[in-house]
Amino acid sequence: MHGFDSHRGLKKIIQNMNFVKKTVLFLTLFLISNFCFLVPKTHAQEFTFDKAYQDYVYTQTTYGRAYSDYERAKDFYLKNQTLTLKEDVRKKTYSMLRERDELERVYLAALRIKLIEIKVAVLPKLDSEIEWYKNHKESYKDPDPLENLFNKSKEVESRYKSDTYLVIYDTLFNITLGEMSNLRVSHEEVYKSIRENLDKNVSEGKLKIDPFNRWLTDIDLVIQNLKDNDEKAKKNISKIYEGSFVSPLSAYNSAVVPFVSSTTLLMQLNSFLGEFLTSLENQL
Amino acid sequence: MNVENISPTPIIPMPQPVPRKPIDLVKEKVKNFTQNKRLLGLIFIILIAGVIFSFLNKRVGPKILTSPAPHATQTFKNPEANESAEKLKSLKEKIFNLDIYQKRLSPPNINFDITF
Repeated sequence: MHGFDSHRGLKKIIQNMNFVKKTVLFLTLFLISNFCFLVPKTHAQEFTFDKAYQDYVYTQTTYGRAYSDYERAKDFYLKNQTLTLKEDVRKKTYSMLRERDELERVYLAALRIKLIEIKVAVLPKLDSEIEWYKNHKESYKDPDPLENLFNKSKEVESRYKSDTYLVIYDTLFNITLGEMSNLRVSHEEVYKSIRENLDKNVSEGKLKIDPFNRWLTDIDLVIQNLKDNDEKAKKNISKIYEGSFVSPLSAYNSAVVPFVSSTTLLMQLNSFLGEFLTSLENQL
Repeated sequence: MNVENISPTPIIPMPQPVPRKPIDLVKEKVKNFTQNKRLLGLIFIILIAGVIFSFLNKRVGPKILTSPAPHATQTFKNPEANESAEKLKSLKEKIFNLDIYQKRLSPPNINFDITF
């Protein structure tokens, strides 16, 4: 009964409302209902390389700030060695060391995403480095005395010099190699398509193979030179683990030298294919 | 001399306009506006049309207008050739943007000597 009365009461109120009020009410309800559909749907943000790189830049800033705080606290303590200042520098060292591990982890994760984006296999060593920094960050405990913090910091230094540094430059090499190979393969796909068109028109008697047969030889040679350069570069980077270089950086710089020539070859290949395509289409 | 006594004409005070508060003026304007059924109906139709058009355009944010390429790619009769030409153009841009030394991704500068 009560529900029925309420319903009649509402109906009466609506009937008593004048046109303007009804319009305003209807309009408001209509817009609210439409707004629900018009609100852009938020999709789960994909973790792309750009996003990972932004994270890295942000973490760099955070680490930089933590390092400055640590340095300032250290200077204060060394000038006036009180217990309070020692406690302050201990806290600042603790924060800075955690940020340092985080920075390494985020940087390595960005490299990992880059490899995935360019469809290059991720080195298992890279994954283990990411895991190591993640775990090591958690090994710092808030009540750790300064001596413990220094010892744990040495573990990172040792790990970085023996493993991380090598893995970083090996990964950077693979990124460059992947980008160069992807560009070559993409050009080969265009080449294949143009060649199929040429073969079709030659078999139908619409085109003569001459001078295209010689052009094909030139293009094949450029592609072969690109492949050779990739092999040379791979051979060079393998030396990174042999210890024959002063540092992984110098090994890396030496390994990517063939890619300088590959860049010129890629430009030449692009230009040759453009010329081939134009000439072919103009003759049809 | 009979001086007429001119009785002074009674001065009838002119009705002074009652000063109205600005809020009353606004209220009156709003009342007039809300009573104008035609105007409200028109606004209503415009809003509905806006909602319908926004649905049709499916625009979530402002459209970013990209400027046309300075050098347009040569067009051919064969659509496959046009596709290849476009692809070559985009690949050329990628070659220009290659960073073989990966300077952007160089490792962070870290000082390990923190003891004191």
